[in-house]
Amino acid sequence: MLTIKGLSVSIDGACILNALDLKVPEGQVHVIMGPNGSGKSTLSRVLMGDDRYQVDAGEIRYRGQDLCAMSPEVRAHQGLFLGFQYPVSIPGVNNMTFLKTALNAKLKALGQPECDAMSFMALAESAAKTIGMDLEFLKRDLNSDFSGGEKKRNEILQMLVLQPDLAILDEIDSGLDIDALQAVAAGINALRDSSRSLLLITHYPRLLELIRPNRVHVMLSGSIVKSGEYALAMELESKGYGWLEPLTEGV
Amino acid sequence: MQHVPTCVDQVLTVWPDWLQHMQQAATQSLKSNSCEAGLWAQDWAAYTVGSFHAAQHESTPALQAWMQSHIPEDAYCLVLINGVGCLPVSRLPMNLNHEGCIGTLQQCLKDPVQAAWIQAYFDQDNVSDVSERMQLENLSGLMDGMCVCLSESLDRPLHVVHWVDARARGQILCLRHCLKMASSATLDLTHWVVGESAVQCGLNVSFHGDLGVDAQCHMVRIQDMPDGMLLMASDDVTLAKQSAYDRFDLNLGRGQTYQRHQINLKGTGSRCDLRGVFDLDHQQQMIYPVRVDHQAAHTVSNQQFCALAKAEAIGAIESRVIVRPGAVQINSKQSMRGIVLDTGAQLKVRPELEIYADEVQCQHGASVGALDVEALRYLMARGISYQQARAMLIQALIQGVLPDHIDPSIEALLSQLYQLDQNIEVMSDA
Repeated sequence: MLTIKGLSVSIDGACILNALDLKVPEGQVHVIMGPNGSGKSTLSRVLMGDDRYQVDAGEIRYRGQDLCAMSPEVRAHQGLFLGFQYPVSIPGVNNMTFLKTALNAKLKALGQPECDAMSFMALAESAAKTIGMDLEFLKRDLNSDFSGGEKKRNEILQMLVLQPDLAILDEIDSGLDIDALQAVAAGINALRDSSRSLLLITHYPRLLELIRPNRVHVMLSGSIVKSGEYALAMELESKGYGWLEPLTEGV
Repeated sequence: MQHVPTCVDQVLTVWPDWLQHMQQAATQSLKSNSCEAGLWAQDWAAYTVGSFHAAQHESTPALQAWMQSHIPEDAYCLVLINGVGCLPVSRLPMNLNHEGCIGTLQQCLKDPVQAAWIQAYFDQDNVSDVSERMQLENLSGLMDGMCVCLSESLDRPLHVVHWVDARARGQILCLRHCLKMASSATLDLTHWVVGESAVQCGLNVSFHGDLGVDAQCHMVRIQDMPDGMLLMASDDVTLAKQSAYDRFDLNLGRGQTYQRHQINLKGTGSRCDLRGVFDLDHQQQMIYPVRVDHQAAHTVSNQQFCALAKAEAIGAIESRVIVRPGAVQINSKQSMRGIVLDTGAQLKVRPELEIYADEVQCQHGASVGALDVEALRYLMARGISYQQARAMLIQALIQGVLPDHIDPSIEALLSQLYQLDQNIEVMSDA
């Protein structure tokens, strides 16, 4: 699904990602963990085509295609989804209208018939039910006056409606209470199937207990320095990241 | 006292030709002693030169087509073509119980009953000799205008259409509109200033309004003039006790404009709600000075403006709120938003406050900048194209300043604005 080889990325001359390699096969859930400033969010933004970052070296292949050659909206049409760490509030843009516009933009790009109002409502209702979200949120402006947890739920709602092939969720669990965390996990698990992949960025293993990822990667200084099974996340929880520092030498 | 340059001054420095042009016209009018009518003429007034033939204000198929698509069939309508009232295409109430008048100034003054009504209204303000003044101005080139004197509520919306076409080329058209509303009268007024393309002419328009006790006026002015037209508009509205003036300006055209507003909240508890959406493009320039004068206690003013500037357009919105001594417990809000969409465009917005009373609440806010890049990125990350994302954000900003109720024909105009020259689908209700 996603293959990253030797990816180096900088912003304003500062190197953030350094010869990063990563593979996320189809149908798998991978997790990236790492200390603050290690480049996790940068990776997610680069994958989504944020034009502030410069790709200095390496390549990103998504379903065999050069991802860097695609504009952000084309990436979304092709099945990429980024759940933002800090979703922006856009007063004046209705949540439901926005989501329907996004869905129809994708369908149109794929040459499929657009979703009418009735079908969309059914889809949105089903997605909202999965994560226990009140439909009233759809009537409000996009993320406007939403709490942190409500914003994160809204990201998951969008993901469920847009049905991406590869969802990248950047700290989707930060700031969530126990109920919200379970709702978000339910949303993520609802999307899982053999044809979709997920890349989660998180600091905490709490979410992973509910999701059980296939692989856990540790990112330090802009590179993946260690990968392992779910047990690696537990090890990080007890030992922190210090013991992995020697692995960054020469990176 | 040292003169502090205002943003209006700054715009004028890059706009010398138009000002010079209008000053020359004003000088001409002063030489002909036609600026004595203090109520009607401002010190910058420009007057038309030469005579205007009747054929230049006859209706045309283009106007008829425009009216069919913009003016609701059940609305009253007063049409002025190239500055002169055109009654054959107007639809006016036939009977106002001899207690008011609606029509063109020239028409109303010819009717003894209506003239008496106008006279009676203005006598209240110690402004006499209206007929004489009109005759004087008419001789010196004043053309016409709207005259609405209401003793009671009008049962339907009134649309005043000021249509300018190629026959006015090279002219400066001078119009004087007056509105007088008696106690408790209500009026829903839409004023269109529209023109055909490629007309080089100037408009000098003043609007004088007096709202009686408890009167309510909801006014929309849509300016959709083509490039090459110049508009100097001066509005002066005075509100009596508990009266309300809601005003929405929508500037869509490409004409150069100076629109001055003076709102006098004279009566206790009177209130005004001023909103505006301005779309500036190409080398268009707009100056929009507003002055809201809280003269009485418990008065309320609310201002919300949103301007978009593209290409090399320049715009300035300058609003001053004055709170006079004794005007206690007033509430005033000013909100101005400028969105610069191209690097060559410039916008200046400035709220000002002059407060000479205690116990007042005044809020003001102003910002000028580009569209929120983070919001654009967010929308694009969901598969929405740059053009459509931009249109959605602009629509969101504009909707924030719109009045609660908008006529469908204005909705259609706004929809064109959101598309911003792009053939894209705008947001509709899901």
